[in-house]
Amino acid sequence: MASPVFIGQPRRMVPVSIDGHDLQVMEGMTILDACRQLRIDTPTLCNLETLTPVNVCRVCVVEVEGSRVLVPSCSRKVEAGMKIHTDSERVQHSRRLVLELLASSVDMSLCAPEVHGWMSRYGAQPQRFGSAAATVAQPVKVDNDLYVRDYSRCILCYKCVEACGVDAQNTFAIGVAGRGFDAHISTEFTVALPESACVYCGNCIGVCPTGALMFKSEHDMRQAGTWDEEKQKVTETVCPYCGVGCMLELHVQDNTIVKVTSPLDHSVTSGHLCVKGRFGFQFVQRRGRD
Amino acid sequence: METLVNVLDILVDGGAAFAATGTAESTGTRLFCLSGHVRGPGVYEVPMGTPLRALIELGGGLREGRTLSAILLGGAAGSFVTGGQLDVPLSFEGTRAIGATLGSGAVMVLDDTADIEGILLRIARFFRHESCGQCVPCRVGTKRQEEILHRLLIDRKTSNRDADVALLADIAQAMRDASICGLGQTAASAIQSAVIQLKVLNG
Repeated sequence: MASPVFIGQPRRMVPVSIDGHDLQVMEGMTILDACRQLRIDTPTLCNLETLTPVNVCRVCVVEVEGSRVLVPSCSRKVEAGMKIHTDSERVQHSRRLVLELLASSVDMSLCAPEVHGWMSRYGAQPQRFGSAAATVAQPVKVDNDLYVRDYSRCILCYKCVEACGVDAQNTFAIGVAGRGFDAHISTEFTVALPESACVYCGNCIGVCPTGALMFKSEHDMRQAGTWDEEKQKVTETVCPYCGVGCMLELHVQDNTIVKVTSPLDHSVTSGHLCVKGRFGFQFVQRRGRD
Repeated sequence: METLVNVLDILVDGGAAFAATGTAESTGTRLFCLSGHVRGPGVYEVPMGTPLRALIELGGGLREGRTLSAILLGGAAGSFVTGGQLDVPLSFEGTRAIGATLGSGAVMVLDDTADIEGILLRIARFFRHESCGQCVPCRVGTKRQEEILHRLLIDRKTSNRDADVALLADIAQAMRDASICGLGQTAASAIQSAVIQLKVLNG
């Protein structure tokens, strides 16, 4: 017997203007979605399609006519008649300053190449705050065998907190502690990971854009100078542990699995895995019966 | 609370009677917390649009033999005005016209004995401490603002004055334009007004 199919609420198209282009976009879309529809490269740091927008990094801000301040394009929904400017002097200024302020306080060397591209596009010069500018530099936290936390690379994008919370894992092992410049990601009462609520799903690593959260295998190889992405092969497979069918990407260097990820756009995982899929790969590499 | 008290007047006497006091765009009265170097600091209720000069006179004016340095209008998130701006009407539109704000209604009068530089450092410290740390412009901006102001006013040898004053203005604009909330958006307001109005960082 045929059953009803839910096709969602009907949505209207709303007229907006972006950088002088008039277009119709779907009601309920964010300004960022609309910009991407026009192929306008908009920098984002705290935004990820699988997570709820937190609009904290402010690098995606755009100018909306009639608004006193710039608005975050990642979370502001389009409204009929909005006149949006994505490359005005004010927008360029704030994007430049956000990148400068971050790069002057955080080690962003392991960020994706597009982040460095935005820095040169907006002429960011983090060194102009002076050599005495305070940073979040601190020793790497190595307290378990699976992953490390290097908070000198943390830009506080909240992605790991969201992935650990309601957006994926619902474990709530980490949150933001402290405030102002001292705000940081922490476990409850700053306990070491093994004593925390962490279940080692590694979904925080999966969403971290700066390399602050990293497989211990990758960290150790980087320390030893042997990490070489050019020599790595990515093999796609399906997790063998249960019947859910999570897609795995095994990153293999010198015939050894060095990291496991899952594609963000995979319908089963949305990029998220569990401890078995993420870290339980050692048996594949057992060569003998020892 | 001030708003709720106004509601009583409006309910008892009607909106028209309430709007008869004040200016066309800023109706009724407003509580001003007059503090600093005046003879009678305190909370004064005056009609909207009362000139700043009249409010200070209501508070007994300056102490004997002292001259006015500056007035911080609207609290730490407000801005400095000078002795030349004493005729500004204390209304939303009047203060807006000179680039200031009524803010919280705080009016801090500073005479020639005031340590304006110390007050600026105190304001910078206040905002760095009050920033919740959520958004980048405020979290790092308030920190950098304090650092730069410190080297401009204290560790003078380490400061390239012109570059640092320009840097402060750059940070101010980004905080004003891109911070999430009103705290970050106004965290540079008083300091920028001191640079522009009081010329404190002119060397």
